[in-house]
Amino acid sequence: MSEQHENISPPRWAEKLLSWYCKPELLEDLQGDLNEYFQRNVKAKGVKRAKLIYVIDIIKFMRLYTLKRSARNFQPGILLYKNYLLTARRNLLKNKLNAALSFSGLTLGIACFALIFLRIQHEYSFDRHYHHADRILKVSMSLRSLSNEEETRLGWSDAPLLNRLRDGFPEAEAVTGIAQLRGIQKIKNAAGDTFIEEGIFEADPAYFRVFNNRWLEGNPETALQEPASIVLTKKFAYKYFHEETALDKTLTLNNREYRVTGVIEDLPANTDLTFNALVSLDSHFGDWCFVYVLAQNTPDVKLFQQKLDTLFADELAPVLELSNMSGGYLVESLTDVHFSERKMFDPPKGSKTTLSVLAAISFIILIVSAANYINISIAQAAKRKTEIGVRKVFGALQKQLRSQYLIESAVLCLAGLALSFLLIATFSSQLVTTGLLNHVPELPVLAMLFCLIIPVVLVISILAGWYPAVKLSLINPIHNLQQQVSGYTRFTKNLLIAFQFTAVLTLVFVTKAVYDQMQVLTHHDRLADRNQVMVVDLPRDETLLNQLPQLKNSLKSLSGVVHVSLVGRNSTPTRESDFDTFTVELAGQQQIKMLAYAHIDEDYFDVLGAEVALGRTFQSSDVSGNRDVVIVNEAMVRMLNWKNPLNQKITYGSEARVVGVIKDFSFSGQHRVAEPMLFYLNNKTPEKLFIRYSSSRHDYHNLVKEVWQSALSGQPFEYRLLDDYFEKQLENETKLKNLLTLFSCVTVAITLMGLFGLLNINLAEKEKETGIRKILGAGMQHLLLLTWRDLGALALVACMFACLIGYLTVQPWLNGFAHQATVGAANILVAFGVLAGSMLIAVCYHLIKLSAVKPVKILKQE
Amino acid sequence: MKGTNLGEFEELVLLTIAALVNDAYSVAICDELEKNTGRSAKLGVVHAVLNRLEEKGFVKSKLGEATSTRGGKRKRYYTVTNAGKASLIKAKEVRDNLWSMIPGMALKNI
Repeated sequence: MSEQHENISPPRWAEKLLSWYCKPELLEDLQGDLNEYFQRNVKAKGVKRAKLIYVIDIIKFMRLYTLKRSARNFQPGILLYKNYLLTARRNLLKNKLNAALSFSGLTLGIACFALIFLRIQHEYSFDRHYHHADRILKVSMSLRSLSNEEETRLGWSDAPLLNRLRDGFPEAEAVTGIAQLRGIQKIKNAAGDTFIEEGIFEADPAYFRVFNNRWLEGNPETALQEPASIVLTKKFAYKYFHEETALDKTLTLNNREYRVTGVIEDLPANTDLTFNALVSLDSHFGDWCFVYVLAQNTPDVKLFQQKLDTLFADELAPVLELSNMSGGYLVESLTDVHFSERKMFDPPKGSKTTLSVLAAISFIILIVSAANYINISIAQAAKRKTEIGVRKVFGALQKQLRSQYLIESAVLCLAGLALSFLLIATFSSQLVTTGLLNHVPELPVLAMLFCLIIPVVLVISILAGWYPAVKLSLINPIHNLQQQVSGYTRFTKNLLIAFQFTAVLTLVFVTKAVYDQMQVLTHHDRLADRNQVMVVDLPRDETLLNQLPQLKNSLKSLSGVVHVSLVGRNSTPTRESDFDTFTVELAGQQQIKMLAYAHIDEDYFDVLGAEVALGRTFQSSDVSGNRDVVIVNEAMVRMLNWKNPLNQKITYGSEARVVGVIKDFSFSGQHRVAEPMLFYLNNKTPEKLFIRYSSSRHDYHNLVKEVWQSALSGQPFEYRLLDDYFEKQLENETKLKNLLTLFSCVTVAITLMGLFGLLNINLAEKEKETGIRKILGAGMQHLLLLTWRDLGALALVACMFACLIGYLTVQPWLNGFAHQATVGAANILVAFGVLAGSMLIAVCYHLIKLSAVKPVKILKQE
Repeated sequence: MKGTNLGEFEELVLLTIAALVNDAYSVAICDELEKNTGRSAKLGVVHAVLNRLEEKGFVKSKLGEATSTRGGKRKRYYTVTNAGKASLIKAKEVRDNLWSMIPGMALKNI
């Protein structure tokens, strides 16, 4: 029995751990002691316990006095490090071209990475700057038709919810509603300066209890208490009052006087709820508003949701059921709102998918630039063999040589990091205008990011420096005269080049797909020549209403003006149209439907260039505002499955007859398929003036302005082209396109730099070989083929990978669009074309260099 | 330089080494200490103290013969040096002195 115990040995790994960390002079004795205890414990407490105690003891023995000191007998000392830096500097200066190539590659890579990092940081910081952001909840609402289960999600909730929340929810510390004033507003200051403004919201007094904006003037508690009060942002206050204090001054908003009760700091770029000014409520909101709740403690969203579900079932469901509808409330934490699914009337959202694709791309670029550095420094090693040999002869250890190369790459990477941040900081405003950055980053944010990226860059520097360091430190000084360093690194070199090629091809592939998709988006809508339609904001002033027909007629008589239309509610394409419930006939039954509608006049379709599919448009015999005739679009006919759409009845209060069908045009923007829509004739409250002119002359707005001022003197004249509305919708896609273009260019540039570097080194290494080949009669094509055969094969292999990766990346993104571009041979061709083009540049360079090789000069020995 | 004062536990270990004469190696010291003081002496602690005593020059050590019982590892035997002896004696003198200063009555009722 006891002999059995003798044979049990303590865990091997623990023994190894001990001998790894323990000083050799203490080791044997300790091992013996622990072993003795172990054998004792085996007998007393059993094998398992004994092993456990053994391991614990070994860990407990890790003390300062037992730890092994550095195995080396001498430390390289500060002098040696200084020498490393000196050598690094000398080497960089000696090979200026190569140093510049790998350095600028690294800088570009890091800059792209930092750019994306800034973007991600920005998107993730949305609305987190408010105190208690984690305690603020947003309540929105969805409506569902009971007949066809169609769901419409709104960013809004019904206004009565505010009071229900205040009464029935003790966990809510404050509840506030905020709603944008409809249309555009005309604001006048005391001096008589008038501007047309958007982004004026009305909010109830609790707004500033929920959101703690920074106050410059006024008192947040009382600012929105009184009717006809207005709170301005700093920028806005400056626009109307310049240097003076704005507090207690008056502003005229749509002919009503408002007292300025406060000025707040401009809202930061990273907020979803943006406004220029807030006005106080007169009594209560209209039907809808954005609803925010400040919870007492960190809220339990699920519980809150449940309570709201009950509330909805009690209060709203019975009412909605009458019109065959149902729905529910949706609670979101403010910090989640920016990335959640976009609902109607919501500001644009962030997309995590896009961000993660961008993050992946920026990592790839970083690695591409690291690959460049690796390739160039290994290829360059041939030149440094002598240095390494001498160092080894003088007793340098492998470890020391490794650390020398790691230090070199770290210095280079950190310098690249510093330079890239310098570049970003200097050119930030230009980057913002091209959409590569969302906003000019503040200095503290930049500094924080700089510190955050340092570890990433250090990892990259280790990645980039490790392979060369290991390879170079292995050079045997005795052999180094005969041996080619590049011989055994050829596989690695080719692998890295193939990786770079794949990155280039994939990026170009994806970028081409994004370009195609943009093309589809901009050209899919069937509105002809949008840049020849001028959209003028009309003042909301009822006294001017009877002057408008005259203005319209005098504009029509201008030479070059083709059509003029005064359009009312919801009729500007790309805006989110209001919905209402209409009774229509579907499959022989009268049904209630949620439908979008617009108020237009008889010239509307002519101005937009929309075509009539069936029937007619409005005529002068139709009476405006009567709602007895209606025009629908093809989508509507499809949805209701009307065999004969003309003369069908649509009821909204009174019964209207369908007199015409309009071909689908992308009213609600290019991301969505055409939705069913109704058009009523109603030009009693026009909001916009549409003017189509025949050619894109540049001074039309001046002509129009003159007519405008003679008809409506003193009213501000502001216009945009219809095109701008569509462009604005494509903001996100345009930004993505610009970013991808930049990234593709950067990757191409980095790869090209790498190729140049390699060619240079290759030329220098094989100078003699080239000379001899030339003497023996090799033509240029033979010499080129020697190098480029491999590279061509690599490009082809890379192409196959790139197509696969590119397709897998881009297809999910494309699936988000109603009308998709096709991905196919064209993408591959373009990608390969770009790569081949840049390779051709390198070939030309190579050719020139090769032709300059003079065998006589190289091969003579004097 | 580290101080050459003797801590309480150091003194105990030093005394044990002296008492064990030729058989003073770490495990034996632990066992002896446990037996005499009734407190459990952890190997880690004793080992650290031995190391410190050696640094102070109170003990010296040498490796013994290889044995089959300890996984073939040799024992490290400790002996008290002259400096160690001197500091032990000095510690005892300090105590004796202090004891002699206490009047007989003072401790009688303990």
